[in-house]
Amino acid sequence: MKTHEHLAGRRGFLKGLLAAGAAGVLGSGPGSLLRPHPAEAAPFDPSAYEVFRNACPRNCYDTCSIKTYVRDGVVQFVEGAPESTFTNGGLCVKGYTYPRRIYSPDRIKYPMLQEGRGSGNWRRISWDEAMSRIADKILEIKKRDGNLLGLGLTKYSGNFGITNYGVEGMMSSLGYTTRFVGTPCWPAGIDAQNYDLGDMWCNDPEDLVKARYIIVWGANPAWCSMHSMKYLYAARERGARILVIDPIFTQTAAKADEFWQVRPGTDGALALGMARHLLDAGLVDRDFVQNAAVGYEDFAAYLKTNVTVEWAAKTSGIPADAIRAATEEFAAAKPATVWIGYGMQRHTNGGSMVRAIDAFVAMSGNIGVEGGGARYGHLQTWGFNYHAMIQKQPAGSVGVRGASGPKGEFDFAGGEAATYSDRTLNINKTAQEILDARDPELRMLWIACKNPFAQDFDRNKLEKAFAKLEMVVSVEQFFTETVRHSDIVLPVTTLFEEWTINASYWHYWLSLNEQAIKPMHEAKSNIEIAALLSRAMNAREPGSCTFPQEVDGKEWMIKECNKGIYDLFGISSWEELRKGPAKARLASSASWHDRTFKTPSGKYEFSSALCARNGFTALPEYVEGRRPDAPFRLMTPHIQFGLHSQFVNLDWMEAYYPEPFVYIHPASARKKGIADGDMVRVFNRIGEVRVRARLSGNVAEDCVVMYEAWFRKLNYNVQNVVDDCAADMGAMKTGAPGVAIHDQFVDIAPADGGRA
Amino acid sequence: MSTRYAFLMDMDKCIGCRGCGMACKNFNQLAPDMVWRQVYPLDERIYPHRDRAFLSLACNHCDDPACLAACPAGSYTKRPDGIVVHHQETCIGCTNCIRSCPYGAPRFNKVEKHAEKCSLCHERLDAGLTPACVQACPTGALTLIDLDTFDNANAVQYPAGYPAMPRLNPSTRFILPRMPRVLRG
Amino acid sequence: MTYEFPLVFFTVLTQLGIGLALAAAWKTCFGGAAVPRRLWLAALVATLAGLVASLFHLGAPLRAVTALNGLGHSWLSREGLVFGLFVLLLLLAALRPGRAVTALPAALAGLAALVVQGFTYAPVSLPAVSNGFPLLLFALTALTLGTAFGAETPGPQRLTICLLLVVLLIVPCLWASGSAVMQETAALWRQSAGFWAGLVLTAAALVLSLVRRTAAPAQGVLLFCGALLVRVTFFSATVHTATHLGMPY
Repeated sequence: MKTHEHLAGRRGFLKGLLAAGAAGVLGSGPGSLLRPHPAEAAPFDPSAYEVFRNACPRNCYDTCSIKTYVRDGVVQFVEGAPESTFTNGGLCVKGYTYPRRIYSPDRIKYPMLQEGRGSGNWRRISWDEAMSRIADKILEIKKRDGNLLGLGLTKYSGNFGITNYGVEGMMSSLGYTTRFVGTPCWPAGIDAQNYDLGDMWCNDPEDLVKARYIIVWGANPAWCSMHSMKYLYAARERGARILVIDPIFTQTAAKADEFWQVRPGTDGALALGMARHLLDAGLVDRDFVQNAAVGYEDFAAYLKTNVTVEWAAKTSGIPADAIRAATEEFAAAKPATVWIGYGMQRHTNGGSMVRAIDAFVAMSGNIGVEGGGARYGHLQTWGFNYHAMIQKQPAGSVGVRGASGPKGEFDFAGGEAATYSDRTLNINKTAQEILDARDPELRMLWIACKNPFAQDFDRNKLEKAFAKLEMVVSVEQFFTETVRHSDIVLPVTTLFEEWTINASYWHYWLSLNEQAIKPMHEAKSNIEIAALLSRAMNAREPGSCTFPQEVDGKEWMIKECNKGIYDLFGISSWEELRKGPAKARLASSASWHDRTFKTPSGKYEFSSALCARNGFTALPEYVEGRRPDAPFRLMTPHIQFGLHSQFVNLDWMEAYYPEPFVYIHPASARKKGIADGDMVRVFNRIGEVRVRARLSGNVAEDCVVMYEAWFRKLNYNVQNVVDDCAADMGAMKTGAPGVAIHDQFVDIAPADGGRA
Repeated sequence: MSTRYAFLMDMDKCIGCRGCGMACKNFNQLAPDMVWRQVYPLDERIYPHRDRAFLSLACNHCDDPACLAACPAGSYTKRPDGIVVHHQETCIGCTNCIRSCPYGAPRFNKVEKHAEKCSLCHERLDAGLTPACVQACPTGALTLIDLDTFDNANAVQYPAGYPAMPRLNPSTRFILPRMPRVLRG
Repeated sequence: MTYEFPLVFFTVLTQLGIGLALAAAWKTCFGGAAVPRRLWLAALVATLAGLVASLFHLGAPLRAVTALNGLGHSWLSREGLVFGLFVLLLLLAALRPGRAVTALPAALAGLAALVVQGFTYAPVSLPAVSNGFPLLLFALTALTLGTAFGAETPGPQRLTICLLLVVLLIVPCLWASGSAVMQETAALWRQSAGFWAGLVLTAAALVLSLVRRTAAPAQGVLLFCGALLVRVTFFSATVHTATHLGMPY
């Protein structure tokens, strides 16, 4: 399929050799076979390509700007856009697999119908037939129930390109439906930062270089934000000290000056202990806490009454003298910053821990400071029109009475019609919510930009839940486990086959995503699929779907842009992005630089009445974590080779990441009779995973680690043993609380006699 | 002024991301299971934390390359700038280079039945660009140096975990990884 | 693990050919009886069979002739050349058997081929065999096979078998006290069923020779099979430095 166009020099050499070969096969003249002349391959010539602008739309801090080199209508290779100082010319191990994703023989090529869900008995159908079956089913549901609440959508972060919110738009254009809302990713921390600061708004990550002390707390940028590492290194070269706090000795920890292996779920205690020491040592920034904050005295009183450094040390496992020393260094360094990771808030007490860290940073006077800050994430650059997303329900549509809450952190639509709204179900309890849905039951599920069987919790329960569904439609690129549990699969375009525009929740760059090649096979973009469905719906029942029946991807991308975006990024039109990504014009690299907070008080709130109203403590008090019900804590964080269930399935990636492991401490393995490389069972009350063990002192003795991934050839799924226990916060801003992904407990035993 | 191109692999900066290797596959359009650059984790006897420090290795473009010496077909040449080039078109697939290279740089393409290896992206170098792996490295752990002018007292030629082959005189240079102070709960 | 069967058959068969040629030359120069032509022909056939086997090792056998390009630096190229010469001289010796003037050059070419093979299969990347061991192994293989099929009396055969057994037993012990890669090679050889089976067959040939007090083709067959098995171990269980990257050497 692909041609080695840019290696033409080598090919040219071959031709020359063959021609000369005729002159004398064994002769000694130039070009003879016996004395091949050194190949002088022609220099690489970038001008021989059409170069397109693309952006990696995955749920990733780095959201890289891509330059795509196309020749003869084929993507030859990709590289990072050099114009973005963040991407800096290089993609990551995942991004460089994109040419393979486009041309992978494993791609879903045309709509297919599975005769008997899970049977593997797939047959090719036309787009017409697929849409007929789907439209018929939707109309049948509407007729049966008198509404469309039996039709559900689950979609999340598989593709964050803005036009892909057209999937939500498609649902709205059909009527009031059921939406899985919330996010398994970061909601507890979002709410926590909203209580403290009024919004989630982090400094420009590129200003990390200005920091003199950096705590990376529960984040692993070496794997999950590789492009941020250069700023950590640069800061250190300028004299900064880097402390990594994590239950796992991560790759980032290995690059730090100091690593604290905190007991999982006790980060809040540790942060409060550090806050207490700021108080004891007289290191509190009086100006900030008195002039820019409210509730400080209450918090100080709480610390004095309830918190000691010794208690924090005992709870977290980090020695008291180390806590004191680091606190003093942090306070002395100006500026100092904490990078609060998403892993740290995936606990039943996750939001409270983020609030405790926020409070520590605030007391040290590092909020609103360039190079400082309690960095978590931001949505400052996401002010698009959401033209694709905001569609009108057909006249007479019936739904749930009254307004719904937010449908996720990216729900910028707001102002829902008050008479009726969609039914919202918790995305973090997908299985239970499907099982529990009544009046009407959930009958049909549309899945896009998401792989529930790889991401949703309690996989065994999910199997039961899917069995209840009358029709499942997946929009996919590969035959995932979710597709196996679907009736119809629709092939969706890769980012190279569609127009869209992308922003990041970490850095401040904006990237255009041009259509670089024609869609492969019969793949269509999400908005094209919506238009096709609209055509099928309206052909059957005119007016049953308001989604336009013709869409132009480029036009729809342009419709997402507005003056606010252009002004923020200092561009006059989207076309300027064809020259490369643009960075937001920031008054300061620091968030909250003018100390105008978006809290009810307009100040930093050590004590949040809103938080108390929502059922939590007003102060960032210590909350104990989930109690174990099995010998080992299980953590299932991200590995650098995949983004959730994407990338690891590609054969290119298998060259570097062929097989998953469960990582277990050598001492624990010894007690369990497990040797390095043994096949083991990791199990708990909801399921089990069979996987090879890798002994590693990087994990604590009472902890095991498995990295989430989908391998095309392996029956490996960490969600078999991860339940849907909720995190504390998240409902306020994302519609549902987060999920305690890292408060999971398992046992482990040799399987199949161990050696396998 | 002569030039001898080489890789400088800073293990202290390397995060083992494999971006270098995948960038190589991406630019050089390698077969799905083929890699020209591999990243090897250091054994715990060398670096005490498992899977946390790495050697990223492709071809070392040796001064006296074992592959070139072993190749019966004359499919290897050495450019004046030190780059050892393998010419797939004349390769007869005898695998003698693969047997002979102590660093595992040449690998066998099972479909096309020839050896192949890192070219140091000489087509890119000749166009004034850096090799694909160097361009990709997000931390600056992999850089291109000219050994004739390179002067870094911290660089070593034979780190632990990398066989010393003085006769071949491999060109790659390494900076050793440091370790953080570790406090465990 | 790759077994490199083409190389196994190539080296053992060509060493059989060399052994036979040496035996024939010895008889021609020092033996009383006339040297039968079939001994030279057998050497020729074995060598040609080995060369054919070697083609299966190539990705592009049709371009095998270009393997001569690297004569200036490649022992593998030189191996090709010297075997080409050897085959020609064997042909001459077979055409004019019983004459020292044809026998001696053939024998010398055979010896040269052994030496070249000894260098070819001793690359720096295989520390356990990057020494005189391949040459010793190949020479003793040639001599045991040559004496088994070509000698009149069992004496030389017993001597060479004993030497071969001693070398095969001692060398892995030497590796065990060497570098990490050598130690692992020693361990793999000792775990290799083929290695021990090869030793047993070789020892059986010795026993047979002691019992029957004569050199017989049966012993030659045992030795040949033994040599193949040991050679499989040589090519598959000798550890390459590249497999240890990241580990102590």
